[in-house]
Amino acid sequence: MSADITMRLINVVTDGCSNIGLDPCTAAGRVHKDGIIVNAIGILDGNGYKDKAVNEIEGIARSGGGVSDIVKMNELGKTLTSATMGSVANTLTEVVDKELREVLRKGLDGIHPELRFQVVDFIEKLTDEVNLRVVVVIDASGSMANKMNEAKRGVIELLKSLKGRKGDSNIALVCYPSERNEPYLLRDFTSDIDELERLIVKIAPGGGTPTAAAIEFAARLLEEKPLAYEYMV
Amino acid sequence: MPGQRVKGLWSGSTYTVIRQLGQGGVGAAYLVSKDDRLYCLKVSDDMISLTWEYRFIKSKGKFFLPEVYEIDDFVLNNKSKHYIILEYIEGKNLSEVIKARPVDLNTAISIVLLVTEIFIEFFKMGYIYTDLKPENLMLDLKNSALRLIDLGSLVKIGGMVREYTPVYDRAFWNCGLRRADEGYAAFEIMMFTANLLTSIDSDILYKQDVEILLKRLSGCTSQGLYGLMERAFKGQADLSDIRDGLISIHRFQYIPYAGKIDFCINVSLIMSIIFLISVIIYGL
Ligand SMILES: Nc1ncnc2c1ncn2[C@@H]1O[C@H](COP(=O)(O)OP(=O)(O)O)[C@@H](O)[C@H]1O
Repeated sequence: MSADITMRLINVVTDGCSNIGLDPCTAAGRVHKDGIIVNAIGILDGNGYKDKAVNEIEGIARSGGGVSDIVKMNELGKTLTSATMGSVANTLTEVVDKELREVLRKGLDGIHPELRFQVVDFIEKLTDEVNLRVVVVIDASGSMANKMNEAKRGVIELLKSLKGRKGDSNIALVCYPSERNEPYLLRDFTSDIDELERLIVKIAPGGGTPTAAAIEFAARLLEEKPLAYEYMV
Repeated sequence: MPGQRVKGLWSGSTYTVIRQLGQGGVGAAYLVSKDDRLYCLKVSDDMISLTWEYRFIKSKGKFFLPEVYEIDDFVLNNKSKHYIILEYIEGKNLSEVIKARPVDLNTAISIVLLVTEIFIEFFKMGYIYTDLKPENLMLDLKNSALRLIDLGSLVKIGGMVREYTPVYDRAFWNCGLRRADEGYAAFEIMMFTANLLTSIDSDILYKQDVEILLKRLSGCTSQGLYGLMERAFKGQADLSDIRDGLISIHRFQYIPYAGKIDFCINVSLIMSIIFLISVIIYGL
């Protein structure tokens, strides 16, 4: 029965310097209201993280009900995976906690720590078995140029990790900006690593950073609404 | 923060923080005291992983794991946190040890053989440990033994690999799926061995190609070990192949004590661990 739940997530990979359109945190908050989790992973240049960039990345995840992290070189895939699975576990924990409160009038923290393992086992099982639909949103603006290889490898790593789960995992890829500074769909939902690998090398960075529009674009994809922007490869 | 007190909400136990031991993926570990005894207190927001670790050690306790005594909640700055109380292992992390002094081939084989025995124990229980790395192994100076800390990465056979370190990870090297099976564990053990024997620099890492790595390794290891690595990297070795292979190339005579890994396995193995430990203590 548990295998029939599907969770919808957006993972934004960015350097956090959105400069076109709305505030991405507002967009993430709006999307989260529709039951979508938004995680944000920052790829920043080595030392001296820019406060503004970090604030934006943390803000997106906070409004989007997800997890944020700033990655070190070579670790994007790992971080994307733990953010994805961490946000799934958090959300499932919240749901279970709410159920418990309704049925038992006390949440997880009202159960003796020694006895929580049964609930924990249940959450772990669900985490492994839920179906996931994940849109990875890749910031390919000019400032990301020297981090694109890392970003591409990271996305492939994420898919490799998710494939180890019992539940189905499908990933779609949204990039931004296009030549008209808009987000575009690189690949609709798939679980084919090879195909994603082939497509992902085609991303060419350059242009502005409309992060909010990209988050909304990804949400439309998850909601299976007609896409407001162009479809291009 | 040294001197700070941590009071369990359910048990009422109070621990005094002495110092931080380390920071890990899910939280931090502190040396604490209660009634003149020392413990390791692990704090985290992640109730799931702490509950899991507590439960696992409690029900399956093994000598190579720290003992676990308590799980509880406490309040820090108005926020609810969780902790578990573990046995404090007096000793050194393997990563500190190898940084100070590279291990020779025979010591490396001893360590890996012990790790393999531990992995076989886990496998028999139906689990795979997916985050083998020097940081997660402690040389216990009091008991002269190799102990494993941080069970965050333990998963049921066939499950998803949640925690891993790219250098030791099969999927990272394009040698198979990131799924917790016996081949994953075998790969991880031999990649760990490779790391003990040579530094895998960023150049090799970036290529993610085991063939290049194997070429590099052929210069700094014995024929037997090289063959074992090659088989593990290609998914042609299971855990008992690795154990048997390691035993056959180990310089000491090896007398397996069936099912008695809980007290280390073998005198000669213990000897080489003791040697390593005495090197650490006396800087021989
Ligand atoms: N039982 C213990 N005894 C002594 N030191 C410990 C113990 N457990 C952890 N440590 C130290 O704390 C560090 C972090 O602990 P770890 O278990 O890896 O945390 P996490 O589960 O958050 O990753 C370790 O690298 C080790 O040095």
